[in-house]
Amino acid sequence: MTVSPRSLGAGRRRGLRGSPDARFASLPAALPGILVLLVFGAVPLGILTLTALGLGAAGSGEEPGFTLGHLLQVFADPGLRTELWNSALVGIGSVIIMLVVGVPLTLAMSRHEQNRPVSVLVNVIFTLPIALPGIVVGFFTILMLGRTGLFAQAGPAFGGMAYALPGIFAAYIYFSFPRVIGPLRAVMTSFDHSLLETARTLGASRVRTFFTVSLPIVLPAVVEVLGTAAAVTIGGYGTIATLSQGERLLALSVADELSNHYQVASASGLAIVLALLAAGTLGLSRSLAHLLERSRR
Amino acid sequence: MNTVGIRIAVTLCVVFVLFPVLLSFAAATSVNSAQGLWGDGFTGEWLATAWEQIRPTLGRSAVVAAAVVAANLVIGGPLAMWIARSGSGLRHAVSFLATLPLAVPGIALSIGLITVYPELRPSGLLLFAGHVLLTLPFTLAALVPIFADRELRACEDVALSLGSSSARVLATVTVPVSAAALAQAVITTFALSFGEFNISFFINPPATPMVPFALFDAYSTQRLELASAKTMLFILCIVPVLLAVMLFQRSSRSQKGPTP
Repeated sequence: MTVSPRSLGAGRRRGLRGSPDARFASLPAALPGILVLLVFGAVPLGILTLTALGLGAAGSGEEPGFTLGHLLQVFADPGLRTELWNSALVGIGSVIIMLVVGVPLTLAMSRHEQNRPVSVLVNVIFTLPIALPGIVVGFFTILMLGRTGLFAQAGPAFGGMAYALPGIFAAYIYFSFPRVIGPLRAVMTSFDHSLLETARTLGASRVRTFFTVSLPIVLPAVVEVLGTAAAVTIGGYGTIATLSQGERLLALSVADELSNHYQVASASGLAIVLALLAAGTLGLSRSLAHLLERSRR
Repeated sequence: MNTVGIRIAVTLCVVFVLFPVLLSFAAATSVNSAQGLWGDGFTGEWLATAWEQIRPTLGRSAVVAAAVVAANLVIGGPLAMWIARSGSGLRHAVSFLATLPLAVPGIALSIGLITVYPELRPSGLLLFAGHVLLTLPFTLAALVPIFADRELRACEDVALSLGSSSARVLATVTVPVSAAALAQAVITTFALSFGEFNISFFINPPATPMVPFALFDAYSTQRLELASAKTMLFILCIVPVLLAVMLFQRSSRSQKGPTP
């Protein structure tokens, strides 16, 4: 970038750093934001970890003092173990199902859009579920698959399915729809479709082109979308709170321990395990995406 | 996939998303949904009752969401600018810190917040702070890339070299070029805060419920028709917001042309 003498002079003015790159960027102005992140993000998480280790507040009947019991109860208790497994299964599984549908669809849409843009209406409809809290998605599932839901009137086998794993899966697929389709659409806008034309003219079949050309190009981004969406789905509480009559997920027990039994340390321990599962999925996917990106170069 | 195939696939997705919404509307306008949708006839009674009951919570949530949007712009804007442009090594640590609320489930953060700041709870300040914390990462995600954009910075350089003051450049170059990203940040923040459930479940004082909590209450205690009616009113409040951002993005994209 060429720097004129005039802009260098501007850079020396009060509140601006010497480098022209730092224009309008000042630490004092950024401090309130950093403070919010520290005071309401990092500190509560730190305290939550201490509480989970028995070193912070204790609830009714909980003994204060260092222990790993609150963290490890999730592995000791068979019920909680099932909930942890279900959380991982539903969270990651629903996103993978969405990806299997979403990757070919958004890829094809991006190519189609080069000729004719998709209507605003389709974009709004594809984005709508992101504005719906999990509880609303749970309610939708009850309307369709609940005991007196629409599908129950069609066939009794569907009645009450909302509270079993298939129904919960359906709910979380709906929940992750915009969280998968949106980022994928963004990724696909920069996809170079001429590569596919080349592969096709060289005689590769559509399926082969998809698996040997398209997928390797988009894979790092897809892995990252998987992690981000799965972290939100694993941590989501509203949907399962509405569908809590049958099969359970871990988020439900976190809330129960606190609001129904006032077990602060126990709830904190479960919350930390849930957070580790969500953050771990996110971190793992980011590292994997990074590795894939590097191996391609 | 050929053109017809794509159309069919997109249509199926549209049906997948809209079907439950339409079903909810049908239940909300049925006299008795147990007799089949509109089996006993069509009525606006449930919607009228729902509106009376849920109106205060809709208003309260809208006020909180508007305040959260303002806070995001006031503190998120400068923070995004600093992350995008400062050479400080500290910004990597701050970027990492900002991803925490995305990675850590809302209920975990809520438990942390009520343990540490119980005295902020009755006033509603803790709810507000929690919403700001949860929405700030989305504001940063929208603003940091555009503020880091080389072309934007080149435009600012040109304006400054022509003799404009910093404030004028900020107002006439930086903000207009970032308009689409700013709109994205505003809408996302509003929608997230308006529909946020975890914090309003754990942190909010029960005397002044937010609209997601009112919905949850309706789902667990009230008739399917009334719960549907309340859901419809909630969705009717959020759809215009989504439509606005889409239309705004489209118009700013077509105005922008090849060079910003």
